[in-house]
Amino acid sequence: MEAAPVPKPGNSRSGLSSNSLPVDLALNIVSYLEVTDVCSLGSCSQFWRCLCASDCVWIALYKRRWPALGAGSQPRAIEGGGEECSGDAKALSSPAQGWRVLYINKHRKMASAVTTVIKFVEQSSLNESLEVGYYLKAIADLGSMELGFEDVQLFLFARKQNVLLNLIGLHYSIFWLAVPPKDVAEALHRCKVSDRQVCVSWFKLGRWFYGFRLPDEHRSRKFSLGDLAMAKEEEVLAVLNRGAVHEVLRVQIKSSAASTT
Amino acid sequence: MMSLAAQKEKKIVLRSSDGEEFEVEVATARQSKMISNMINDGCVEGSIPLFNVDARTLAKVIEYCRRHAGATRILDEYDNPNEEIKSWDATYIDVHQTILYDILQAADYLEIKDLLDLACEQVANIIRGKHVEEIRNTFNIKNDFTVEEEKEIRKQHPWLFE
Repeated sequence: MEAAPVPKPGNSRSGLSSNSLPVDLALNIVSYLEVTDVCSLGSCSQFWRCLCASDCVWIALYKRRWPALGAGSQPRAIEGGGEECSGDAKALSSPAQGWRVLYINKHRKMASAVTTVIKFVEQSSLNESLEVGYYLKAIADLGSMELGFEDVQLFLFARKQNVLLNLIGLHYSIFWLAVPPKDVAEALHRCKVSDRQVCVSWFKLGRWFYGFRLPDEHRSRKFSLGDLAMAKEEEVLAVLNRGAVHEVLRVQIKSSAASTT
Repeated sequence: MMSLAAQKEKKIVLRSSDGEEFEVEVATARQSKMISNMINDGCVEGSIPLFNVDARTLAKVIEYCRRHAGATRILDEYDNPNEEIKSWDATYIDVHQTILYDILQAADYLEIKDLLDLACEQVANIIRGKHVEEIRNTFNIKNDFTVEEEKEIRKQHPWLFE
C-alpha cells in the first residue's frame, strides 16, 4: 500500500483532517467501522480511498461477516456449494484480486442466493401464510449457502421483507447458527421488526379413546418476533422446528396482519 | 538501594511542550510505555520533557493514566469493575473533536495503547452512520478527486445501499 501523503506544513492542527494522520492510526480507526461506513469514508478523498481499499481492512470485514470461511477447516455444505467452496478456499490462501473485490463478490453471491430463497417463500405462500414444510426447506437452503448472522440481519430482518421472512431469519439464526437468543432479539430490535406479529396454527390428529377417535385438535398462537426470540414461546419454536411429523398433521405460519383481514 | 516504600512514593515530573510541569506517581507514569521504558533505563532524573504534548492535553492524558493505574486496585473491590471503567472511559473520551485529536496523537506518542484504542474508537463512533459529505465536513477533509474519479466512486458503491 502507498504511504500517506506527506503532511502539509502548518496543517497539523486542523482537527482530524486526514493529511496529518499517520496510516497506522487511520487503520486503527477504520477497524472499528462497519462496511457501509468504510465505503463512505473511502469516498471522501484520495488518502481515505487508498486506505479504505487496503487488504487488511477488507480481510477483517470479511472474517467478521463470514467467520466460518476464515477458519478454513470448517465442514462445508454439500448441496451445490462444491464449486463455490473450492473457489473460496483458494482465494483465502492467495487473494489475487484483493480482499475488497472478494468481499463484494461474496456479498453479491449471498444477495442473489437469498433472493432465490425469498422468491421460493413468496411462491410457496398464499396471503402471507406458509406451510411448515416450505418453511423448513427455506431454512435448510439458507444453511446450505452458509449464510452468516450479518447476512441474516442485512437481507432477512430488513423491514421491506414480510414477517414470514423475518421469522425464517430468526429461526435460522437460533437453530442453525446457534446465535444467542439475546443477540437475535437485539438485532430484531435494531432492524425495527421486533414488534411484528406472527400467528402459528397446528393441527393434531385426534387421539383414540375407548375405540372412538376424538376430534382433531387445532391450536393457534399469536406472538411477536421479539418474544419468540427471547424464548417466551418455546413450545411454538419447538413445533416449528419439528415440522409436520407423527401426530402433528399440519403447521401453518401466518403473518398476523394477514390473519386479521 | 531504595526501599519499596520510598519507591512507591517516588514521583516523576513530566514537562509539557509549553513548559508546564506535572508531578505524577510512578504507577501513573508507567501507563505510558515510552515513559515506562525510560524509568527502566533509569533516565528520569529531573523532569521528562514531552515536546509533542501541550499542557492541556497532558493534563487530560494524566487523568486517564491515574484512573487506569488505580484500576487494578478497584478490580478487587467491585463486583463489576469492567462495566465501571467502561462507563468512566465513555464519559472521559466524550470531548470536543480537537481535544480528541490531541489525545489521539499524545497516546500514540506516549505509547498508551488502551487510550489510543479508546480515542480511535471514539473517532469511529463519530464517523458511523454519516454520509460522505457529512464526514468531509466533520473532519475537514478536502475532496481531491477528479470528476472522473468521483463518477467511478458513485458507480462503485450502490451495491451497498440496495
